[in-house]
Amino acid sequence: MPNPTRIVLFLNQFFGQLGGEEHAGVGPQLMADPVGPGRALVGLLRDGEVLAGTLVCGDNYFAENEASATEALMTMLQGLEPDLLLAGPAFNAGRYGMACGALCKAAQQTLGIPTVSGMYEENPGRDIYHKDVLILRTADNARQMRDNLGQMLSLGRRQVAGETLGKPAIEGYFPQGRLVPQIEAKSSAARATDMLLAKLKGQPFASEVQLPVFRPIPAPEPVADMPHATIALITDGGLVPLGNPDNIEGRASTRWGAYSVEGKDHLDAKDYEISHGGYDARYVLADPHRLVGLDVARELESEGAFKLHNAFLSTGGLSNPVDNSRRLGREMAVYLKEKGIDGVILTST
Amino acid sequence: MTPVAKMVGSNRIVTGNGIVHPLGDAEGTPESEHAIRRRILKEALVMLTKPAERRSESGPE
Amino acid sequence: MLTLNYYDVHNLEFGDATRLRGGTLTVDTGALRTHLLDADPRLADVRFDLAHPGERCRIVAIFDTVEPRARADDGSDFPGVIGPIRPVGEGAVRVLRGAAITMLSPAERAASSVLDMGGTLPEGWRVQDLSVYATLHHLVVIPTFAPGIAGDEANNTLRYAVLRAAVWLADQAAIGAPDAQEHFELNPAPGLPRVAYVFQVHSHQRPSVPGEPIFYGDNMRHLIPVLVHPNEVLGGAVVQGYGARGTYMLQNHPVIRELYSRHGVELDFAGVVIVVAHQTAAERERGVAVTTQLVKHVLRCDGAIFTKTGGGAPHVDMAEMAHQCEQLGVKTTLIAWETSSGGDEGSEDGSALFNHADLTAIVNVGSNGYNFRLPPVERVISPSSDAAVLDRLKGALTVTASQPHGVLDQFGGGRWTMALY
Repeated sequence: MPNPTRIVLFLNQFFGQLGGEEHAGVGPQLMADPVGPGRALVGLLRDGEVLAGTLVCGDNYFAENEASATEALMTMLQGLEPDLLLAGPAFNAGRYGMACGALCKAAQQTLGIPTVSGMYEENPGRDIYHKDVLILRTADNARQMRDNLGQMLSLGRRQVAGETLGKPAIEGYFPQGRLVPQIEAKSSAARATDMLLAKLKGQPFASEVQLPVFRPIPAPEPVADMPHATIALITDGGLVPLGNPDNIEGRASTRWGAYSVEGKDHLDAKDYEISHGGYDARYVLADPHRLVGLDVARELESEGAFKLHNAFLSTGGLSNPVDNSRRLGREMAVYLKEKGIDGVILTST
Repeated sequence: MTPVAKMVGSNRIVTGNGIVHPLGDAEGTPESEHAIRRRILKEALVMLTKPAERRSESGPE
Repeated sequence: MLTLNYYDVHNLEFGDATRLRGGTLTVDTGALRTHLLDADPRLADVRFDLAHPGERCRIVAIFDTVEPRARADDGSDFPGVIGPIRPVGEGAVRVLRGAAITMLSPAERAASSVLDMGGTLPEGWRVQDLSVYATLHHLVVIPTFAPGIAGDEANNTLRYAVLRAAVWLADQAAIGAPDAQEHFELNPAPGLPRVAYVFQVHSHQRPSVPGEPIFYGDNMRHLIPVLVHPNEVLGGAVVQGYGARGTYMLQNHPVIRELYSRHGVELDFAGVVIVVAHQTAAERERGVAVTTQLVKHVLRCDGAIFTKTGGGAPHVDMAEMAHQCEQLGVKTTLIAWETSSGGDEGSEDGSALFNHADLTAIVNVGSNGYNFRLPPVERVISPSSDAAVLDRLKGALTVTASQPHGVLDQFGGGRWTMALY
């Protein structure tokens, strides 16, 4: 008979039946016999599957001693020779979810075994670990505990067997943030109509695009003394000197440049070109001031409004992954601080 | 594109005169374009001297 | 009611007469050449080629693909362009189904477009599953311009020539009893959810130019949203702007066909709102205001489907319109390409250009950053006669997702997507 599939379950102090919140400080322990949800899990096992052991740790203990707790639990886990780790389900319990996520990630990395957890959408453990760990979507309460365990077990089994899982919306786990190119059975027009009808009926549907979330950026203090401040002009419209000496790409730009306007009160169209494929460049090519307003900036400077920095900064804003744009912005910020620049006017197409 | 600037968290935004000529006007005269450019750049300078009028509308991550 | 009379084409060949017989379409290219050159002195010459589904053949530098169609009655073909300006949502149209006219352009902008008629990509995808154009028989037209014809004048020449060729071919060959018919009529569908299609036809990030015909021949440069009957789109009232490459998709509009197929069964197709993506804020805001009122109060819709065209900026116009509709209680679904990947695997940390929380239903038509690795082919159809260029084009090519013709289809006709896992 082939070796049985050895499954290990991780629970917190409450589901591990050690007690409630007052026992949240209990350290890592290994239980040989099934406890709490582990008993239900045993009832769901098939021939050739065994619950090899149950790991328990208090929510507070894990949160306060993550590294050492993880190490201790990994050692215990390794001793059980597991094929699969199931953690939780943690529902909406945040510290529990964080512990489940951290343990699953560690088990995958150090032992190379598949893992499955279960959480409610708002559990911070989902937000932090969904990319690394397969997390079943659960309600925010334990009423479907048995079903959830069964679903986690099923996903785990299939991973042990090396099966590729289907789409998150269908299989019931949280999207892991990966986009994979493929050909669908239905056209996008048909999928869109299906989605709209589901939305109108109040039925569940799964969007194919996740929208970005941006953190608010604290606004810098206003410029106190504008007539004596140095202001720089920046653009993401891709205006560069003829020949594009810094090879700024016309799409998904990875570079930026600083181009001297020392002694200049206007930009000569023949000295510049555009490296940006996302807008009709003919109007800016005819008159670059429509993008980088040097002529008027010099006028205002001569009227005492401010001091103009002796270069404009430029890059391309077309189809740039956010991480790239963030890096470009940080690099420009370093330059601006070094040059003692007090403020920036950035013109975008 | 003002809505994009708002979305990513820009705190001081002046609306330009179009994608293909934010500081100009293809259908204008040199004088009218100059006037547009002055208006927008002056508005930008004023905004830099004042507290930001808005916080980003997106919530914290 | 609009009726499409289908004359099915299963083969395409050159010959000394233009006719359709037993599913084989024969084309007298000498006669077509005369027709095109007589009609427009801006064309100095045209030559022709053929491409068939399954062939290891690559067509490059595509200006547009048009389905050969001609009225069966005295109605207007491509009103405001070829035919007189008249409403085109009723009557009967003859269609050479399975055939296409593909016009090439020597201009640089078109150079990177590519259509492989056969082959399988390393991912295991067959070209026929990626693009409807690989399933058609193409009469490829390669133009030579008269001296001095360049830029927008050249584009205008091509726009007229490809539509002219499409009408001529259907008019000559689609004779007699059709093989099939399809009727398009929106009968009342009481009690079903009313759904509109908000159709973004052009993006003025590349502003349309005077004389560039798009909507009943108008260039839509300062378009304020307008209501049309879906039959007008199917009937030829809308053609692509220069460089947008897919008039065929408008003639066979996937969203319109899909909504028609569900009309009276699951939904009540209320109508089509024609919009553009504007390049100034005021026009964008005006477009949003008018569209939401049309959808909510004039069409009295429960839901709306939105598509976009062009590049990234038009996502914003579409999203703003949809968001305002949602605020009025109209449920929306958007179709768009996803923008997160700088390469071949996208991530959820998208660079989508909008993030209104009520836009919960978005279908993605793939990623514009994906690299398609096209295998070598045996034959290239190109405006160029440079042997070195043709040799390079025959070999394995890596292109980004907007380059293969019909793959990243923003009107909803494709099945390629970036699936979220």
